[in-house]
Amino acid sequence: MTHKSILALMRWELKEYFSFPVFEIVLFIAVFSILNTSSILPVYAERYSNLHWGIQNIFFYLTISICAVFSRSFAGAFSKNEIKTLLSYPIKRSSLFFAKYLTMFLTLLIIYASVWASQLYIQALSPLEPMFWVSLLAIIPEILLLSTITVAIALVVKNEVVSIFASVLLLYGLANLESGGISLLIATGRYKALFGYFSILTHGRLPIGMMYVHPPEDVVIAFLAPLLISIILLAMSIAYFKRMQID
Amino acid sequence: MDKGGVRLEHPIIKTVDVVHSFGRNLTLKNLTLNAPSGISGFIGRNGSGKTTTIGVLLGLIKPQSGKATFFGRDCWKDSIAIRKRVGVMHEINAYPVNFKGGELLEFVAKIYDIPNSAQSIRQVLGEVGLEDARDKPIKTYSAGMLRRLGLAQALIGEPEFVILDEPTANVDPLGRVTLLDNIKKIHDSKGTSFLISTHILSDLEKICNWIIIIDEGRIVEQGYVKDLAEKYSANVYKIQVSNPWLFAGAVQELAMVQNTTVNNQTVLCKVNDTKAFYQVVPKLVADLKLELIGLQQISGTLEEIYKHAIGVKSDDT
Repeated sequence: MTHKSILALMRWELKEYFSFPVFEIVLFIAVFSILNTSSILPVYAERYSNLHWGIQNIFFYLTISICAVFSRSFAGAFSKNEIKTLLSYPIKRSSLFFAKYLTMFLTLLIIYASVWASQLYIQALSPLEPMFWVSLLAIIPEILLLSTITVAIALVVKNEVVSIFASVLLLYGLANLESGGISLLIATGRYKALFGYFSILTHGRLPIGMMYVHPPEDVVIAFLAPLLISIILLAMSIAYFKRMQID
Repeated sequence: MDKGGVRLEHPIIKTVDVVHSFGRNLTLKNLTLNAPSGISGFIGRNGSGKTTTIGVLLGLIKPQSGKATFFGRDCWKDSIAIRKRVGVMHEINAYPVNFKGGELLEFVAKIYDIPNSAQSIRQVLGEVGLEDARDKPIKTYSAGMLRRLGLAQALIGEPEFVILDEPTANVDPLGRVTLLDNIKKIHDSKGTSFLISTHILSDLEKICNWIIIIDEGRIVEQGYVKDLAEKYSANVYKIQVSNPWLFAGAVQELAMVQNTTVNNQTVLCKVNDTKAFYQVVPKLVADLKLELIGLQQISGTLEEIYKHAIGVKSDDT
């Protein structure tokens, strides 16, 4: 497989799964999730604290978007015979998997990163505000984790609707395990652990409204655990996909 | 020797005792088939295992046991090398509906790394009669156009072998004739070999030289059409005599004759001992003082071959 083939596959994915109106809907949800976040601190020096307000709200919409988009691309592709069609060409299964995954991941990342960048304007922050970049970096492992869990489910159930429901229920079920918002089991908790820790490093204090500071080992776990789990899930998913019976 | 009684020195496709099941449902039961170059028809009822067999050949399905080879290569382990030489049209193809016909072919050309792809695309579109639809979105194509587009994407780059799964499904009668004519022309002009899976026997009658009949996951018959036609029609004779009614009455009395009909001044006899019948007819005609105008075995149609093959299998089980 040449890189031209991978790019051709990625173009197929974009045309098939992000054509009108899907791209517009995903973009709208992303914009809505950001605008729906309240700005409560008008004092310039404290405005960066707004980046952690309403983060739960953003993760809620991000989870829905990821479950829907990845389930369509993987489980939906089985339902409508797309996987069979593509694998009848001389395409390696691993190449198809990566082309699908990378297209979905990069598109969602670009959408959410772009929309998140609007926070600079909305919150009147400097582009050099370190907490903006920390917050952006903290979202990436969460997108990775949510997407790999959804892909694993999609490959097993091979049905778009079932995959969306199963992944949404599982991920929200996890989020509801803990309601205080600081547990590392949930995306909000991991984000706050990173945000709080780097806030002290860069601004010398916790952001306004954050009462609990996580120890450094929690911060490492908050960043590395989603990455490690994602890598393991990706490896398992690829191994499973390579051995699947495409009927 | 295969079951059809034909020796195949170098089959392109060869499976030996392939077994596969989906859950508890055994779909392929010791499947042993051969396909030579040329146009092969793969016949069987819906659910008989045709699509699963194609999946095995393309390395999409790993058999639980047995061996499947394509161009002498293992279908599961060397599937990429095999698919580089094979074009495929599935019964249900999932092309991106937002692509234009030409864009799909460009995609396939890139995947197969076809040099001078623009010319290849123009050529295949011309072969299937879709030149005017090149820049139309696939979602606007009719069922017949989609099948022709499927054929075009299977033919691009001039593969050595093309697998077509139910190529005439959902195609109107005129479209079917055109599609089958195209297949025959491509085979004749380029030497491309085809495996055509279908349950519509009339589709294959005119264009196939090799037939594989599958039923309930087993190959019940395979061989050259001509050989099978002789094999399954050997017990039907067409006799033309000066007085067919008199001859029919007399021949019906013979023990070897199962039934007799007179149609258009011709007597048709179904017999159970062809050798003896062939010897006795001239004698009987002479005894009746008639003139023997013609004595000929009737070649079986594909439908007759199929019915016989399925029937033979039913008797066995």
